[in-house]
Amino acid sequence: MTLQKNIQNNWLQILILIYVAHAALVLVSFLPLRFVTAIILIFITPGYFVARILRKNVFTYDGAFILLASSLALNILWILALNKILSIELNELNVFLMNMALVIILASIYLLTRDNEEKNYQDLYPTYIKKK
Amino acid sequence: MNQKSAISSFFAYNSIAIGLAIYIVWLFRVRNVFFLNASDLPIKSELLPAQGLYWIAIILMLVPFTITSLPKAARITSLGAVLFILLFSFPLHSPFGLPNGRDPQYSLQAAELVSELGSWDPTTGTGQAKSYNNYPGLIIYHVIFSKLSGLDMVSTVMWGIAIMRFLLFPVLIYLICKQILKKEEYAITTLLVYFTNPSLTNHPHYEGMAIIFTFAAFYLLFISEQRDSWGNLFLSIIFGIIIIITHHFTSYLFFAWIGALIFLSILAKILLKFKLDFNFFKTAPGIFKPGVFFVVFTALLAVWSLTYGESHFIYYTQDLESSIFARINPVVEPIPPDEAPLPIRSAPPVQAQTVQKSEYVLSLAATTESPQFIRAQNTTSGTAMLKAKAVFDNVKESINRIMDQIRSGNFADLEIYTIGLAVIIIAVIAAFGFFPRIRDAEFVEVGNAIVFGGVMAIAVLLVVIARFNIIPRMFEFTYLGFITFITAGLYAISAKFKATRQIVFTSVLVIMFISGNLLLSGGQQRALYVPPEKVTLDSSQMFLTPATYEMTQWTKNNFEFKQVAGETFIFDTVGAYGRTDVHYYEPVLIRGVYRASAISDSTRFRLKWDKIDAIFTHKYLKKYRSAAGGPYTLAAVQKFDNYYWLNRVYDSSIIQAYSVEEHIAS
Repeated sequence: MTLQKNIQNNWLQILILIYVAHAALVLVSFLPLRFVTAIILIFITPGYFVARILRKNVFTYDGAFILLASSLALNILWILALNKILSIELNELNVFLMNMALVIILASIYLLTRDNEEKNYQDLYPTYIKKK
Repeated sequence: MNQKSAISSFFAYNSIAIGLAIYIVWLFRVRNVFFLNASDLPIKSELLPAQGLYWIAIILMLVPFTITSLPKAARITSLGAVLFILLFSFPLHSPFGLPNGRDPQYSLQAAELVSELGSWDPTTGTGQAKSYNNYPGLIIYHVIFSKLSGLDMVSTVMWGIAIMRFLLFPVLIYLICKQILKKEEYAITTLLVYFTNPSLTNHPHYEGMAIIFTFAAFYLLFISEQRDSWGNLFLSIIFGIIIIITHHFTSYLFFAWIGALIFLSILAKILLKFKLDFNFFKTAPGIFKPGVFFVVFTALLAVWSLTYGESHFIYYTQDLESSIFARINPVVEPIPPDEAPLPIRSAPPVQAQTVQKSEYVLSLAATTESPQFIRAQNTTSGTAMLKAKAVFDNVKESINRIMDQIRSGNFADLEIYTIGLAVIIIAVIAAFGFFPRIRDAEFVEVGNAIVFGGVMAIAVLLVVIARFNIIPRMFEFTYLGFITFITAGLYAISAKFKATRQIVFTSVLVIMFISGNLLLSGGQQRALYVPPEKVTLDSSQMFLTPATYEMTQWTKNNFEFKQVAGETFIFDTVGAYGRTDVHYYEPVLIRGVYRASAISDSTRFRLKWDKIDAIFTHKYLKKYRSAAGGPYTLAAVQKFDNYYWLNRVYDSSIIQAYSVEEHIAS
């Protein structure tokens, strides 16, 4: 199975692994690896779902760029908005949790839109499930 | 892979590896020299390793990319290595690993404040950190990066924007060029051409982040294959908000750019009826979604500009406008013939306030408004003639000023010839690319060229007439309008040289890269080689040692948010790192404190009026000038011990601080 297929089929497990790994690295204060997981949280995790919602393949240049740029933009806007509107303090734990909340929201939107797509597909092609 | 290709790859990878090794050796030697001579700054350039080593390293790494017959992997490795060094030049070339330069130093303060307060408060900060606190995009990025990665804020500010730009910018430029030029080969070359531009904002500056989202929103609206989708529109609005909250000038330029493209699109659709045989007209995009974006962006920009960004908005709409009009339509005061030796004033006198606004609050353009005087050759002429003469006088002085700036840039003759040659080459190949391509080029390509050509023309006019030296800031944006034509021209011209095609192609790209790199500011290696006689206190990397940084931390503990008298170097160090409000922008105060060998009562009244808590002095004031004045005499710099009302509270071999114990009685 290719890397692409692996990520597409096991995205939830990968996501949980990343967040658990980052939390563990924070606890043990291991900076070099924490730096890597931080880059993933800032530049990849939220954007992955934005790219999927927009039906972009993240393994193309276009999809990869959308993933990186939307991750960064949404992280900044989301954390700034929560800080300003709900007065959530910008400390290590809160920033981590806010990032996680953003990813959960985007993943939920992705799941909703994906389900709708499947549904439409089944309406159009009723034999789709039977054949499967 | 055949044998020939394998041998070529072997040489290419070796060239890159050797180049990288030379670069690392050069870099370590530079940093060692600075580290070992930290107590004897500025560094004499003869102590540093030859600058040629840097260029040899860059050329060795770059050349494999320019050889088109090489395998793609080798070429991309070469491009990646060069772009890495270019985009990471700020943290790599910072002599002591500290943010140096006014923008980076105050960016650090802004981010540290948010990090320590736990919240974004636009009213906190000193100097540029306060004025730029209205634009929290980059600041929040730094805070998120620091909190998630666990890096301290100094390291975050040093590396954060470089990582962001390295991850996003090359891919984006490639995507834009690929869609315009259609060919992958051309798109990769255009990517390098873009990074030969002389105004890359590689240091931690708000514009360096905002420009990525500017190009990204443009890409989503006009270039992307899914440009008509609602998803793209939604995402471009998100990017638009990031632009608005990150940088004022970029927001306004983006507003003008998108507005002009929509206008050109409407115009092209109207002119299409006249059956003009240009692809530009036929490929004009629909304006519904860009129009929706433009309306939303304008509304959000207006809201931000009139609330958080009000001070900058006033600067653009009133201060800047009135300064420009004062230059175009100067106030002239004719002098009667019998007083002919006296001058005619061709510009309004400058208030101290103007100097403060232009030098302190904003960094859009360095304006040094000062009264211009011309002699009345013919006082019988009408006012219009006198005004015309005054404008001519302004233009002449502006050109002289540009020439002075070039001279003070410390360019060697060979460097000037390289830059001159590159300018000629770019002009020729851009023309070669433009004329054959103009008929077939699509709307976005020609539209960008028209818009950015216009922007450059305005920038040139502004620098000549109004003295707003904005050109060096413009290329990072406007180059996007020309790079596709430059690349097309480069391929067209090199194709004419059959046997020597590869040599021409490689030489042109190397010359363009070197000349662009020579003109860069912010992390540029040339800045380390300025001879001591040309060093000014404004080039803070030459003086900013760890010891000075320590002193600023002491200042933060003792004078945080207090009022301090100091000149440029103190503004950049004690002001930025120490979070004090340095009154370096008040010429009368600074002259009174530093220039005279005694402090007069009128200066004391000024100190009282400004509620100054401390005066800073340092050993460099005796030898080096800054934008605030100097150099000063030994007696002038050391006079502060003579006054009972001043108490020396900090003393090092470099800097002394005196607290004002008692102000003059009224």
